[in-house]
Amino acid sequence: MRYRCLTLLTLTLGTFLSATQLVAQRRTAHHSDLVRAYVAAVDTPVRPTRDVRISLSVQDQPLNQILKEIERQSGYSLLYSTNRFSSVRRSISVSNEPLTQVLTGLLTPLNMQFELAGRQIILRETSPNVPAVAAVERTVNGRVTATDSPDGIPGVNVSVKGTARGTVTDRAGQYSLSVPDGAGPVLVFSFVGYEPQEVAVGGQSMVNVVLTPDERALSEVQVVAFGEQRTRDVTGSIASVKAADIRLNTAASPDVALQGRAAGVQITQAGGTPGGAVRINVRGVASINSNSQPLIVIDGVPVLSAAFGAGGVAMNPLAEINPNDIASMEILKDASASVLFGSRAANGVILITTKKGTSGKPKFDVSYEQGVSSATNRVDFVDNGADLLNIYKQSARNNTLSGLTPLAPNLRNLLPTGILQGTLAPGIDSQLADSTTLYNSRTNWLDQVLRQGRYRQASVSASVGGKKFSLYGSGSFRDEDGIVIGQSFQRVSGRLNASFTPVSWLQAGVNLSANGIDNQTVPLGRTYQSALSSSLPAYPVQLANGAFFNGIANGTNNTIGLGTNPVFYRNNYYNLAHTFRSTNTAFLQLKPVAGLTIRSEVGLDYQRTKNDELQNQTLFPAGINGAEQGGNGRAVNQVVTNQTVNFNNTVEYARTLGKNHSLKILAGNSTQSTLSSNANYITENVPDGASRGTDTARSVVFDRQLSFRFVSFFGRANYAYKDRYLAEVSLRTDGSSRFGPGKRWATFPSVSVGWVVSDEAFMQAIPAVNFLKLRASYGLTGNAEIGNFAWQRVFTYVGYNAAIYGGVQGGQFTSLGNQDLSWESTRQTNLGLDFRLLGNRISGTVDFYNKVSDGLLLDYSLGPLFGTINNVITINLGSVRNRGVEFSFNTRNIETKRFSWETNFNIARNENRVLSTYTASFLNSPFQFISGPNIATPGYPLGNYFMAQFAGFDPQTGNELFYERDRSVFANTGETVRTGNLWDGTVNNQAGNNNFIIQDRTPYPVFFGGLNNTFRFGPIDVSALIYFQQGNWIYDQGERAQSYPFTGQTLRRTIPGVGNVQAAVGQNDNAALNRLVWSSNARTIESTRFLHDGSFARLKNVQIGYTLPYEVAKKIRMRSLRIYATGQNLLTFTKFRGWDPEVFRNGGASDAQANLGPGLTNNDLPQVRTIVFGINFGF
Amino acid sequence: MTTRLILTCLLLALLTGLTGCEKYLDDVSSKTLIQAENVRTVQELEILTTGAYSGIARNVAFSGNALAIGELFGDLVGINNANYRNNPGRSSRVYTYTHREEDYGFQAEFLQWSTFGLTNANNVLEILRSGQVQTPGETNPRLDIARQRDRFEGEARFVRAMCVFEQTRLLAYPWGHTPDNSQPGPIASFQSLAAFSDLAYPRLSVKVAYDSVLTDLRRAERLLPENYDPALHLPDYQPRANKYAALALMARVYAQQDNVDSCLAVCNRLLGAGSSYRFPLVAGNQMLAQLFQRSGITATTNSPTRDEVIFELVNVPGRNVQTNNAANLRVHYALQTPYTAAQLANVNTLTSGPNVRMSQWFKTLASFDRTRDLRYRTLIDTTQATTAATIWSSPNRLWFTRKWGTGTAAPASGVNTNVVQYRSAEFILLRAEMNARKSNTAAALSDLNAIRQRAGLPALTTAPADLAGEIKTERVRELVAEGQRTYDLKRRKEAIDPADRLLSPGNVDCAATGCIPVPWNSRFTVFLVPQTYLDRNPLAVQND
Repeated sequence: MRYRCLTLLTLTLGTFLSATQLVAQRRTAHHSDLVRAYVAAVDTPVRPTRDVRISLSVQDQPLNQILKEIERQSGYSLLYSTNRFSSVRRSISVSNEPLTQVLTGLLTPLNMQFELAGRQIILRETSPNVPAVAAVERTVNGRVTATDSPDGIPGVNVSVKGTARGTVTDRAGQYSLSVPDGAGPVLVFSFVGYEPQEVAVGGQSMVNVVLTPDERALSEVQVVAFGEQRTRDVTGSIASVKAADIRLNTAASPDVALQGRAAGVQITQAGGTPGGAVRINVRGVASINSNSQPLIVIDGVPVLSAAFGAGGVAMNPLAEINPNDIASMEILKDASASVLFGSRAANGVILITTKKGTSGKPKFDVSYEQGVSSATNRVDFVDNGADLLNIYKQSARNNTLSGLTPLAPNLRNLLPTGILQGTLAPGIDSQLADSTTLYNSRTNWLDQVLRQGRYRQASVSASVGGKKFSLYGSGSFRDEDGIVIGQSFQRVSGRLNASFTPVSWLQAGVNLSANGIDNQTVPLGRTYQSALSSSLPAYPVQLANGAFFNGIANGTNNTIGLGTNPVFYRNNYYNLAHTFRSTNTAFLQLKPVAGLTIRSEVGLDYQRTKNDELQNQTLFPAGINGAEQGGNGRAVNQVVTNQTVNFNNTVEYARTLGKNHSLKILAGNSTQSTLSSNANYITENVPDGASRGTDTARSVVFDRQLSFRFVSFFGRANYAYKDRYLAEVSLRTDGSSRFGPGKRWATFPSVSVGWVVSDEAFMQAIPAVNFLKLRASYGLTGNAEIGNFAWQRVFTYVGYNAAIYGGVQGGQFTSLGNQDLSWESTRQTNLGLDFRLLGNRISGTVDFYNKVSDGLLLDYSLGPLFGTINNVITINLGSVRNRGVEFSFNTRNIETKRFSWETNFNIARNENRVLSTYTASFLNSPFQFISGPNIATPGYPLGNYFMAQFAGFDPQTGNELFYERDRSVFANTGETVRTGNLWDGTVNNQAGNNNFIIQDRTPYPVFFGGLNNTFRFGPIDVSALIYFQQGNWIYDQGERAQSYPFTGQTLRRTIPGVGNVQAAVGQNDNAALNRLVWSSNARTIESTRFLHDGSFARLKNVQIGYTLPYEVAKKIRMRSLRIYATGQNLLTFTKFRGWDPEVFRNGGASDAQANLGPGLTNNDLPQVRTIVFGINFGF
Repeated sequence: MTTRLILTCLLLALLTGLTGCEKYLDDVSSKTLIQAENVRTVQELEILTTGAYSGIARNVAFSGNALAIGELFGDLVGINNANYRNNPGRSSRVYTYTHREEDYGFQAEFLQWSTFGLTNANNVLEILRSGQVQTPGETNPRLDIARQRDRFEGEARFVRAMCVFEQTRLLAYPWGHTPDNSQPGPIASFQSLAAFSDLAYPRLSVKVAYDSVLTDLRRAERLLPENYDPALHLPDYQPRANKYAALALMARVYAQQDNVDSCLAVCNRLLGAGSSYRFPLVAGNQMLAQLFQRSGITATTNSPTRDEVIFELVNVPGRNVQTNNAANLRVHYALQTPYTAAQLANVNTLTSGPNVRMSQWFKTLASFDRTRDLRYRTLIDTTQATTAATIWSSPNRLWFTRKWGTGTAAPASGVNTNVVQYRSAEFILLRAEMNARKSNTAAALSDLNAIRQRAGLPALTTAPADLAGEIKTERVRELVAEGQRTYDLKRRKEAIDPADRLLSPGNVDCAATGCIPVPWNSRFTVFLVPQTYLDRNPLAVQND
């Protein structure tokens, strides 16, 4: 049954294919002269020249026109000097003759020959050594290389400026050319995709040049959904980041490298954790509850990208991919670009393309880098026992004046139980500290939990290609110790990309990867976060007798009361997650007739994580209450696997009609099926050194549950008139198992147009404009990122949850389901402009978009009284708008032989607004979705702050005052307005009824972007990326907790509204300290007092590199050699006084908290500052 | 022509493909989530039924809050721990009758988890009704739906009745408040919710709610087995209800309706006629161990060899819904650590220990025979006093019940122990009360004496002048801290004495009611429907 659909899909495709093929073949037979194939770009398989036959009949045409036609028919690129051939006219009439024969016929009379190089045919003069025609000439030769291709570029056009002379380089990039003698001659080197370069010959006989890639060149090919397009033809909005930039980043995961390099794409990494989760927002957040992360597609396979993890640290699944293997990443931003991923494209799509083998002799690259890392910032805390305890006592004294319950200011009252000697039974009293110890301790717990991280990575790759095959293989090893004790990350990865072209019309290939990761963690809550909350500087690490102080809190009743000593915890805890991830594709591609490409690919993404967590006998002693068995050590062993199988079948047909019309049609289908399994064993009584115990406490096994499936059909048509007027229409129909019968199919259309204005005659008058294209698109995309079974009424039976009765596990009624559940859909309009100015020195893109997401998949809260465990029903409700502008510019400021300077700059603004939420006649105002201090309510951005408004301190009592909300207005309209009264938050906690929708301070930046400068001084290059965002506000929950004295609470040295409390207590400045009271009720109130401007600019990445000149490298038998130093996050400019303005909760990227609370931080790890030295060499 | 051919082929193929794909998409399943429509086996129904019990067994539902609320409104307990009053935990607001402001409070916790049990029960009933569980050819009777169907239906109806009845007592003005009992009743739904639109349904009236409860219980009485039968059921399902649990609850329902004849008849069906009770009383000196300190599945749990317990919620240590020190019964009642002399110097400023203690009013009402009454001697801890010589009736001698934990006795007292819901003593006294009201003096006296003698008191040879009054007093002695006091007063239409609330500083504990007795149908002893619920159910109404 399961395979029936697949069979049908194949049949579907088959039917279509056979019909198309039939017609196509018939047409070829009868109208072969009309058939003109596009020169497919990079991936076009190379047919042996002997199999390529040409039919052509022209009279007195310029030779370059004839060659262009041959290019079209053959699929080969002909490389030659344009000037030379445009002046020669020829007539030719051949029918189905071999290509070689045709070329020989054309070229021999011109004293030229041709040479094959991969899919290129180089046309050059028969011999540079023929007797010189002119009397005074000399020969210049040399070698052309490029920064990204140091072993020589074949086919580079070398011409003498102002003459018709020219040649092209051979396979090794060597050329030889006769030039008129004298001081004048200037050589012009040009090659598609690279900057042209002019060099004055002077007296030299050898001129070597290094070309730089022209990243923005519009003749370049752009990866798009299910294929490639010439960049100049693209009508959607796509940002692209290339391998070179990805490699600059030192993070374990490739997606981090997008930060600051793609306009409108906001990237934040969970700070500090090696391989930690990354939040990616493409053009804002458009979802309340469902995942707002883009779909990630690696070599055609949509991969599992939800964050996962153990120990409270969300891990990034892309950390399982070696960034060095990536050729490019494309971010499909608008509907037109992404609609072929239909139902899952509403949050954008990221296409990751891995490297392929290059033609020519085998190339090997080896690289090694090693570096150190540390926290970007550290916040100061009250750092010694005496000051802290004195602040505690002073604040307890203040309680009387404040009107709180008076409290005797002695340590017994102010410290948690299990700390102070004399407070517990005599038997365990020796484990406690006396007051002298507490006053005299000045333990810096941050020093105990933070350390210098360290990282090294070695990679090797090999690439080889020939007429029939290409091969790319790589291996890499990464070893990283995080900046927090107990965190480490090791990755071994291997990749093999191979393609095979046995005959010209058939290509097959595989992209295989296997990665293993060992990830060790200790929960942050027990290390770093413990140091920020309950590990007081007054506590010693160890007591005089050598025992760790306060390891397990000495509570009563033998319950597990874990203490606050991170060192003790780390020493007795072990958690290793071993992940194996393999992402593979295999494809078969047929080109039965010119213009028709049929491709079928199957993808497999397999992930298996085995997690062993162990609390040893010290941490989980025998006889402890809460033990399911007897205690004496506890082990949790878990195995999780996720497996996705994906089929894509596409048929593409391209043809040119007449002179001016070209048409490309793509049709296809795809299916995806994801299978997961999960097994979990909890054991107790763990022997020393074992990873699991002898007493089974619980075992929960769910094997092979089929999680979700998608079935899709799609098509796209591109039409270009005169290569100048472009149009594209796309359509995708999706079915998803995540919706109920009758609701599971949806269709997503899009249309886009482009106009290459610069090709118009009237633009020729403006030479400053080299290229100008206007784009417009409109389309619909969807989002189905909800639970797999949200539409169904379900019971949870996970083997261990609270639905136990009589010792037996029962099922919990989990959710009602909603049969009417359907897609979240996003309508997006995009207007764009691509330009190149002043001899291509300035290029850029401007986009404006308006994105309205409707029918948001929202978890409507039912409250606790409808009898379900998930007190929510997922419904389609409400809408959100994101609109904004994006600019990106690339300028080549200075370009000389010895020095060049290039700038990339992008900046984007996104404005987010909730347009509507659920409303009903019995509700006075639309439903407000509240998540912590954030709210989603119409008229405000998603996740607007919703909290008490701080109104200062009462001058008499020092108590905290807050504004009062008008409750009747709120009840009637949902708006929050002040009554003019204040309420005392120190004494009362009425925050629930006095929260305000905070105006003009949102978690979202007003604008954000990146500025990258690249300098090259001869062999030395420097690049520096600055990432910035402006106008966002951060709510610091950690700071809130650390601002109120309370039992066992650490305190910040500088507290908002109070100042430096440590200095104050040192100077007996009670005026300042009277704003601190013991156990203030405001302690739990989220208020604007802790809401801060989070704008920042950060020097994200700096690299200084030295590349050995080619000649020198060649002498030591190297193709290339480069050494470099990279710095990540070296400098930060911000007014934010917390840990790090780049905030991201470590919890994960996909839930409502991440969508609504992007500006929330709560003792989260800061980003890391990394300094790395590395070396690459190729041979 | 050819274009048309292609299009037609494509379209036809697409359509065929799409129809097939529905099946492909339907194949998705999960082992952690059971989709209601995929429930096909007896085991899956057992899982859902266990889930229903787990809801009611929570210590914020019938293993805790329900037993606390029934006393907190009443007069037999008073505040012990001053922190409980000063930092009002949610349940202290029940005691002070100020709970009505609470959107989510002690009662809402109860409502949440009782509704959870109830919706699971509704689901079981709907799945049974749909006939989707079919086990043709099944030879194992434990897995044969034909052999199990009655039990499932009986259990689901019993659980539902239990939840609806208790919700009605909490949320509705009592029976008799209006002549036709049309006042709004519970918020529970009698059907399982399946769509957004299902969220809107009206509150049943008290009349209809009671009728529904009785209908469920009559069916349950017929469908449920006499006791657990290992041939038919896995041992795991031993601690579930039998027909007598349904009868016991039915007796309470009729009592609450003040329906003397029906109550009597049901008590007779439950206890058996005469004085040899179907559920024999445990020995007086064994009451603590055998009624209140049982843990896990015992030899007599739902078995043919019966003892006093008709139905208890079974907690298995280590596999309990909630195993921690915050279990509500323990927090409210159990004295875990004896007070120091310094603390007892002023018993009104205690800041540790259980939330409540027995009230002065209880001491008076019960007027125990302190030398003989085993309930006084074994079930009440009277050791805590300012001085050793403090007289028993002094406010300075504190009385704590030992029923819900003593701090020292195993197993993890008050946390992992079973929570008895119905025991025969209650129904013996109920039958006595009904017989007395029908002037069946001899029968009433016989039942009363059974309780007295078990407690170590001499039998009364002749009926006292106020036999009904004597039975009421006996009920106070016997059932204190078991959550029935408020409802006893309500069904008898007796006012609730302010009791120890008058002893609170400045009378703060009874300020809301003016420190006068609270009438039986006062709004103070009826919870409000939580606003969170009213916001989501447009047809729901508030009490007043």
